[in-house]
Amino acid sequence: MKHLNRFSVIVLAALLVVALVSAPLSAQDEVTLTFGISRGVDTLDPTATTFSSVEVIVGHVFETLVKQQPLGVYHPGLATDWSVSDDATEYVFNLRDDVSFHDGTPFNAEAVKYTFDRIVDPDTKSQMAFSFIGPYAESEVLSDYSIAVRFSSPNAAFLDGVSHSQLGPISPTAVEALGADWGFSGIVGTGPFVFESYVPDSEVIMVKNPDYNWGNADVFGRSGPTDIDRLVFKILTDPGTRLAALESGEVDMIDNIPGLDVARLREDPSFVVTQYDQAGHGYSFMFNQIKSPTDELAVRRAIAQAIDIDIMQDIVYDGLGSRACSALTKSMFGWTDAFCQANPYDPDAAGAILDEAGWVMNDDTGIRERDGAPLTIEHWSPDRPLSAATAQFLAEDMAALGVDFQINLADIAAYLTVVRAGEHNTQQWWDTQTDPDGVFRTLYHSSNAGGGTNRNNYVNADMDAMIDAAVGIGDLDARATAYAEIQQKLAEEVVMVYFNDPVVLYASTPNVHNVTILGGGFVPNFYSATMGM
Amino acid sequence: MSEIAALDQVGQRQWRRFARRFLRSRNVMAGSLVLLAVITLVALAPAISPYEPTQQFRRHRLEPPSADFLLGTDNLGRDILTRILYGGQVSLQVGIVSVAIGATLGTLLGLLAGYLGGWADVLIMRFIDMMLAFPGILLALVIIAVLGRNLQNVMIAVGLSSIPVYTRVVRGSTLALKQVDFIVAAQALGGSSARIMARHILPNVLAPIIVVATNGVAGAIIAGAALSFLGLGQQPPDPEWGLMLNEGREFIRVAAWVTTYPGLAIMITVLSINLLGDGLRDILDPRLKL
Amino acid sequence: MSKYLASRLLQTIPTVFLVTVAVFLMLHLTPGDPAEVFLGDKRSTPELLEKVREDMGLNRPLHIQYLSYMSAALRGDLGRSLQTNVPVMDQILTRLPWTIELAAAALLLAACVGVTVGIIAALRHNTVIDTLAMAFALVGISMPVYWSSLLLILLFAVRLRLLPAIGQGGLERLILPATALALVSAGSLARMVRSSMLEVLNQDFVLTARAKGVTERLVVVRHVLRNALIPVVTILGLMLGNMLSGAVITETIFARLGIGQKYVEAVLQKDFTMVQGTTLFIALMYVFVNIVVDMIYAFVDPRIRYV
Repeated sequence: MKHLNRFSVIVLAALLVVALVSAPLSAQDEVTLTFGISRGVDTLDPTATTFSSVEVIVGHVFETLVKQQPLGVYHPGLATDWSVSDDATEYVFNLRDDVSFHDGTPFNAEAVKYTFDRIVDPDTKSQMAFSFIGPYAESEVLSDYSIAVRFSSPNAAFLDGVSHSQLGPISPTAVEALGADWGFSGIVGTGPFVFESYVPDSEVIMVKNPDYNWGNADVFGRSGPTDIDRLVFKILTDPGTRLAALESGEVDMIDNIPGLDVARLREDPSFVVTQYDQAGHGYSFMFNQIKSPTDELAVRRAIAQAIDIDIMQDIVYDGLGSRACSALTKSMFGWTDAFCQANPYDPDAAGAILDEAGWVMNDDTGIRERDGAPLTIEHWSPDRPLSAATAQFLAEDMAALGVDFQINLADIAAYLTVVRAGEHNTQQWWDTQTDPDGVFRTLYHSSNAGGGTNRNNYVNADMDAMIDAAVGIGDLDARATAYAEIQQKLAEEVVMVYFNDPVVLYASTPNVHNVTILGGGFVPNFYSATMGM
Repeated sequence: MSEIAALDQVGQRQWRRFARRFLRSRNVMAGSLVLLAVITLVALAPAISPYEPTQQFRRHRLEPPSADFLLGTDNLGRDILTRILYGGQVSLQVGIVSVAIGATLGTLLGLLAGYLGGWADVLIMRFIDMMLAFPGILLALVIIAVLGRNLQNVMIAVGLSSIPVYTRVVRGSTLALKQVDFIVAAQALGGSSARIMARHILPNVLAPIIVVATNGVAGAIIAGAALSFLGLGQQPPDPEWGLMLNEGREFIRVAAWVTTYPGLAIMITVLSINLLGDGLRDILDPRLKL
Repeated sequence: MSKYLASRLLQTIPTVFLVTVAVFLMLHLTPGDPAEVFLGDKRSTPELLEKVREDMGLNRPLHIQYLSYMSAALRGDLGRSLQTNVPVMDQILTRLPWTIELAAAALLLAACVGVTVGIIAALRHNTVIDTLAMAFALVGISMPVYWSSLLLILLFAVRLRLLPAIGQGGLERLILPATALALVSAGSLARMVRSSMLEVLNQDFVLTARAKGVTERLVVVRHVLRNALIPVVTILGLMLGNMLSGAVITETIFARLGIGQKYVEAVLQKDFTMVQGTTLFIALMYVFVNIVVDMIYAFVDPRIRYV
């Protein structure tokens, strides 16, 4: 009995040694990078998604025709070169002839046409991609590897659009084969990673595409297959959860660090914090011009001047980012510092403006009135911590001004119903964009008023003309001047109030290197990443 | 008739005995004293709180308890003590109003089901079964989803979802009472159903209702705050305990006081009501188990 | 017994029917258009909205929509989430194991703690131990689960750094949420066990057993416990309801992938199909669990009438 015991101990020990020797080998063989992403996923279908954040994930599976880095500078992607007609209504792309989709389908001009046509097909109900593709008219296959894309009106922003993976070519065979499950149980592109699995609200896993050989070395510093064997996106929408996952080593890198933890992480040598100025449109405040009293310029100007935006940076934004000046964040083409103090903080002047407009203080209620009607602002916002803090901050400054500021935090559906119908006075806004045309068109063009994204319901023929003209200007200096004029007009009419230009914050362990950050700071790309001390 | 008069006298004697026992029960006294203190503080909020509930001291953001801010400040620099005192007005109101809604409707349904029997009973009880198929706060969540988010709807949702408890208790007691001599006598004398239910049955099922309702207030305060906590109740900037807890969650690593004190306020209030409810049960209806 | 089972099942048919109707109507009584939710915060034109409505079948008469929803539901198809386009049933099934894990752990914990505390309190009736035990129970039932959850996180995850605060998988991620969830039920169980023990302790057969010289330990184990625990079974169903509704909150706070957390999210996002499907699923599950509890009760307590 004793001998047997000793014998089995020896066998077990031997097995253990074998296990110990072999296990680390196989684990070291495979390089895994896990990223904790703060925003959720609606669908992985790049043409149908309504979330700009989905680009962070699907950008690894779908290669784009052109690469943009930094903003405004374009490099070859799946397209080797391209030409744009003078009026920016026709783009001709020459394509690589050595590329195939992950499912073996050859990549060619037909696949590009299929992708673009699918975006404008009403059945796709495309959102992000639809706005990137602009006034698309048609695609013509000129040859197997050459395609012309035409627009019904000038579209200088199309190179930007086509640099987003929402316009990245999708495999026609895979789309047809998967049907309703496309974007959920499978996605097939030409990128450096092959989709493996997706558990909603939990994770997306992809693996290295060993055949990938078309990376742009100017953008990524490499062109062959990636070093990362396995790329995992863990969806961690709760800030505390995300941070804890990094601290416990479950993920290698996260985005959107909770503001109050940034300083601590910066001092901790076991983490690396990187920061980028966010492109597009920062945290801001819209006035609905089809509802009283925000249809009045005096009311808008008074409110703009009554908000203590400087102290707001600390109280609401945890001291991160910087005070905003206009609809464009500081990293955007067309930004200028000329309008930072267009409507400076001055509560007394704000009160005087309202007095002059006939809104006089009722000392019993503390609310201003005109003809017996109180000065009431109905503020609507989806219920998120930052929006709630912003709204309550504003409420205090509005109370001091004598404005009855009613906060309505609502679920997304109720909020959308109200603001699309134009029943709100004010709402908050934030958006990532990479081209100024997108920002101005989304917010100030009449085509987006009346239920669209222009919830200012600002309808002004001059402004429409200015926006439409600017997008067609090829000369960069002239285009920048045109955008400065637009910003001046917006400041004069106090169409919106701009609070904060956010920063995009990433934290990682010191093991993660060479991550390429695209999309003006918003889109990390792990194709070039390496792991190691 | 004389039998009914005699019963009323018995009733009076019972109330007197109840008062004596009420004063002698330690649970009841402890519970009512604490509750009374809570109610007084909350009612006097405008007089005793140091600041205004929405007043922002922007240079004093997320400060720990100090002489100026006894329970600290929140992320917008508001005094937490002041907000707890004012927030209590809302929470207590939610507790009482929703119990009033639930107890009234639930009792009515229970009386009808128990007294009328037959189809009315079947219909009402199937309806109650359906409500019971949504466990706990789920029913309130569904009701809020339908009605929309505001404080009034929280009271309605919490009230409606508490109906089944009252209906079951009242129906059971009513069924038992129907067999008792004096009710049978009243029926024989040709009293209308409504009159018998109101005059004879209701007063006799009051004791269990009071017991259930007292504990119900505690449950409603917790449920109401839970809905605000989940973002389905009180609109900011006005304070409410559940909302304060939720707003503080984000800062729990750096400023724990923002969440701990409102939670403590809920617990003390609920604890005192539960103590009172336990005591009342011992006195009024020792057999009722909850 | 089988007759009881049959009639009990028969009784649930109208309940189940009403539940499905109520859940279905919810979608149509709720302000906010599902088609708008589907389109989200971006581009929306009247034509696009109309197209989405048509695709979703929202333009058909109500009863037709109900019948088609139910016939699909019977085949296990609860539609697709408006937010993620993922089949609702898939979402439920991937999350169900986590919720069951949490509820089962909490139930077990509550039963162990609650029954032990209840027994000790009853055996030491009217002593300091009894008072302390009942104080514990009272505090337990008076602690809102969202607050006890936050306190546990604060103490064990933030201050002591002993346990992870969030997520699922592994015992260390189960302890905190299960404890938070178990507190309330443990409190009410302790009270229930105590009072039911006290009742049994004073009954004739116990007094007889004692008089016959049976040791106290044997009396408690053989006679008191068995009888005292019977009524406890009745609140199992109730406790499971508590667990489910508590899970709605604990899963949200502890960021656990679970049905409750998804439910709150779906309600907040007005993901109608998700809310509808999950409500239906939970309600039906709860109804049938209650039937099982009734069965167990009928089994352990032969005195129950088979009505």
